[in-house]
Amino acid sequence: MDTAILLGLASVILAGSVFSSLGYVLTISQTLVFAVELVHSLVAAALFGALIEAATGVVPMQLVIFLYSMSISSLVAELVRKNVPRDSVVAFTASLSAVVTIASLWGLIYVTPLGVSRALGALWGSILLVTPSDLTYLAIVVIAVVTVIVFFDLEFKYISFDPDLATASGLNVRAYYYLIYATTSISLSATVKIYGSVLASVLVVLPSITAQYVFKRVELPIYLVSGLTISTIGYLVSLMLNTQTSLCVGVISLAVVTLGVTLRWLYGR
Amino acid sequence: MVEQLGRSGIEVVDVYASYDNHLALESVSFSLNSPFYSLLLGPNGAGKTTLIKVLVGLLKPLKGRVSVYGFNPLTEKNSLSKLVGYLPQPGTSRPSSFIKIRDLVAMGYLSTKRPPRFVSDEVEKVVSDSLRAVGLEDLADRYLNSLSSGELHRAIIASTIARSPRLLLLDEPLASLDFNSKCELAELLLKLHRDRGVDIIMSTHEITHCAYFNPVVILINRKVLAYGSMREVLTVDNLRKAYPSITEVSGLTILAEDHAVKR
Repeated sequence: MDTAILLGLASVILAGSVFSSLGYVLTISQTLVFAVELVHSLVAAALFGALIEAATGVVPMQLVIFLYSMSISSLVAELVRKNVPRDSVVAFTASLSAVVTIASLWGLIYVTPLGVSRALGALWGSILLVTPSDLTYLAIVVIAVVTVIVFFDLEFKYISFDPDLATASGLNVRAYYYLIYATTSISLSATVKIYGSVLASVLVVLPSITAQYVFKRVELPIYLVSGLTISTIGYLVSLMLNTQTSLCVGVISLAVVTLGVTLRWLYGR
Repeated sequence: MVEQLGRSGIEVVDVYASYDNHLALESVSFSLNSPFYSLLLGPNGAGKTTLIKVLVGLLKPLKGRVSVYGFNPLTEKNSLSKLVGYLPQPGTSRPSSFIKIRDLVAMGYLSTKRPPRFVSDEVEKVVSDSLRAVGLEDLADRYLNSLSSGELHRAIIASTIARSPRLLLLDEPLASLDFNSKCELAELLLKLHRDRGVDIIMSTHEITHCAYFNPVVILINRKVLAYGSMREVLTVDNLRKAYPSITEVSGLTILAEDHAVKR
């Protein structure tokens, strides 16, 4: 089999594992909606990362994405903690990220070489851009996220049930939420190159919905099976149709979720 | 009196606290010497939840001094959390389809330990004992979102019992329960108080279910209006201060559910 195809397959399997594991963390900590709210920020982070990578030649876009996502997550968390209305906070961060998106796009297109292809790569990703070092990074992130789950599964469930109860019981709830933000940021930074920033946020949510609607259970193996299946089928379809992998993964995900919701609606009550 | 209590009770001295940008407590002072079974009684908005949050260290008072068994709830949170079990106000928790009663109770116990927190045989035993104490041993594998309000209350109480607390702080535990569940929960709390020596402070709107336990009553409406035995506290004059719309008709005293007066 062609090396490029194998590299691509390894990429989507690892990326699928990252999405599945992260989706599980976000589900049990009841922060899925929070992750979706960050979609604007991820687009901004990816374009800004591509700009910095192109401009400096040494700073990898993954690092910029991680730092940007972490900063925005922390900003949202701290503002909400200070009783600023959540809608206002999301509106502010979305506006901020919109400005960063536009500025980064302008910089990429008019200042850096190959700007347009870099911008498009940040938006919808490309299997062709993935290097062996990207794969290594993805593998490390998979191990890190699964380790976080193994060690903090009960804590995440407990703080999501009632943060005040958890605080009164002696847990540092704020630290656990920051661990979730860090896990989210590092996972997204590792997968943007493959699936692009537009799809990455959505892929975090889809295995969760599939697991809950199709299997009606929230367990990590189910998340992994649904995430890996969706990624692999999407990749194989993209090879057959000779088209964008992220597009095919997105379409397969949407089809699975639609099927799950329909089946639940018809038979599952 | 306050200085003498030291590590054997609760001291609240001239505490002011705000909640949601409203001054909820004004110059609140009282002391309780262990063992105690105490009810915080007052209308909606009287500051009961605020006071409980101050006692458990979830809210910083604007002014005043609080000591729970000699610990400052804010600065000595870790030490105090090992002694205190807290039941949040009903409706504030998010029971979900992925946390089982067994997990909740296990975490109640494990949160007193350092990470990593894994469920060992020892933890399983503590979970079983705690669930048996609240009569939920058969529901250990049920998810929290499938429980009734009464079962959920008992599950949280089991998670606090697992910690072997010295003090239970319960915020409106009787709210949203049917009559029988209220009686069962009140009995359970009395049993914990008598058999295990657990001190209890419970905020409530109603005292009927606990009346025959002869609790210490703290009547509050932003300020402590009276505290002591039920007979001493529940006089018409005191109740009139706490519940502005109290009425008397033909010798009957009618105490309607009421809200604290806004200032």
